[in-house]
Amino acid sequence: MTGEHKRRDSDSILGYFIGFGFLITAAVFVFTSPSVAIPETEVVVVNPEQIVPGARRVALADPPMIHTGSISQRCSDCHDLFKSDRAPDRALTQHTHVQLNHGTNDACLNCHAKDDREKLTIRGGNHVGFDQVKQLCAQCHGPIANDWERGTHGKTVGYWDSSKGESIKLSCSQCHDPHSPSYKGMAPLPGPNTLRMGDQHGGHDSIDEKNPLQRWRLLEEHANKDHEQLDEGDHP
Amino acid sequence: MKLPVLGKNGRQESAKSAGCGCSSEKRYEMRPGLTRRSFLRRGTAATGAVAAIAASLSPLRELGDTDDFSVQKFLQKHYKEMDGKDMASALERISKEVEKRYEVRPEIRDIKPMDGVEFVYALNLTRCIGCRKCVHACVDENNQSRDPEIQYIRVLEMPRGTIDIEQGNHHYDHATVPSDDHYYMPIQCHQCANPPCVKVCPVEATWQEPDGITVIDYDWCIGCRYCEAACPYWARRFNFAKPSIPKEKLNTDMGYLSNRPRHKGVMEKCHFCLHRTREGKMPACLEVCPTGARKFGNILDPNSEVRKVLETKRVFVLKQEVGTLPRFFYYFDERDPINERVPTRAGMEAHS
Repeated sequence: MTGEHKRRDSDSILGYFIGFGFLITAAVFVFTSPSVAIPETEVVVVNPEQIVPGARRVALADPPMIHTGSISQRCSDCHDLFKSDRAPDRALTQHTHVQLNHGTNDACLNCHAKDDREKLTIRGGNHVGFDQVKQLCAQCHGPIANDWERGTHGKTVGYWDSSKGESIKLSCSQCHDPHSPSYKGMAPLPGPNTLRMGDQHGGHDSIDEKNPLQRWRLLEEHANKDHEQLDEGDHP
Repeated sequence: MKLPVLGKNGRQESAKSAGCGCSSEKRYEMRPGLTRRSFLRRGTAATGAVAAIAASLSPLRELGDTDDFSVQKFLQKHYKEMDGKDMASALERISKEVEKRYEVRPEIRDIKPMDGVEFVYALNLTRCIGCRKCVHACVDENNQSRDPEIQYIRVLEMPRGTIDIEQGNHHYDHATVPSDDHYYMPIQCHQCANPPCVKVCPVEATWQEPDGITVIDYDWCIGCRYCEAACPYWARRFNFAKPSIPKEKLNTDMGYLSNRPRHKGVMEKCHFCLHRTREGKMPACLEVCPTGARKFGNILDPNSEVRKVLETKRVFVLKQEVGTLPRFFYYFDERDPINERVPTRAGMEAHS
């Protein structure tokens, strides 16, 4: 009898606690901010000029035109008057922006036609226009030119479906500077926001395993160690 | 409020009388009256229950005047069950929502796959320099959330000599790329022919279209993230918070299955820019690639660039062993421009 009374009392006390628990929880839900606060990350702003679709550079047309301010000139406007021979040893007084860095191909008239500066010269003394630059490049860069023909090298923009619109296959000089054709390094655009989570250039001694920015370095070091061990194994 | 109390009382009494007959008389006397104790107990319990229900519903307050919920959206059919009229009204609803939120009328449409077209992507790892232009062009084109940040393309910086992507790092931050002892491997949705993400979806909110693109109906997704776990290429992204896009950055050229603004709590991923590619255009990531490392086209067309890549180049797919049959191929050139020495005249003369 008394035992049952006691149980009933403890049940009711438990009931009170549960009730109050509900009330407190409800109050917490109602009076605190309902959503989980999301840590603020820096929102990156990418300059739209950095992501421009299409060609990377403007290639010269046929005939090439030089635009200085509002005046447009043709090459022959000057070069009919001033004939110059093979690449001069002296420094250029004109075209000083040209930095020739094309391997062993280091003379102007290897590519530019001697007697018609509005044309390019190809093997056999023939001339091609600046819009046919691929014929010139292909004389030395055969395999790449084959790839370009097939479409496995180079860039095609516009429409993949030529029945719907124009499919524009960019020419050699719309990507490469003919005077300095190899690609220069460029600054990468911002990475994923985890990049801005913390220090990624931490010292080598203190790599924080929980920091994804540093964890990859551990992996890389690990891989290097494995390689070294393999190398040692190969040469006893 | 009265009903549960009465029910409780009744149950309690029958249980008690079955358990012990000796005190039944006493309790019978108590029955019509409400003692102070029982009143307090039941009252507290009832108040607590009501408060708990109110508390559990309180997240609804967050909906407020947002477009996260509407009766029309709630009643909307599955994409495959919608007829022309249903789709027209769905598109009208979506454009109204977009207009309300971004103050610009979008050009949203439902674009069906083209006949005789199967899309394939190919990426030249020899040419990719890791500049991440594709990543940000994709964000601009496809209306991904800027805060929190969602990006479909992940560019891995890989140590030379391995294709083990566990060794890749997408946190690289050099002054200039490419770094000499690395190569770069962008990863996005591979539009697998055997997609694990589609298999695990419990509500068929994601499926493979005849042109090979795996799409998501953002209105049907329940946000369980099974597909994210199933994808071996880490290609799916989840809207953990309400996506935010600056009004002036919104791309108003939209497709129902592609780049219309998403809600909080749904999955999204690369869809090969289907609002562009199904109308014959190239995807945005390809258009901005400064090196021409990206190739896109119809694999069923024998003259397409991707077909030529598969025919003439050495091609591999990522994680071939998992059997997903990706439509995204990586290839190398025979010659490597970074390791290649450019011959100089002085060098040649010294040699001879």
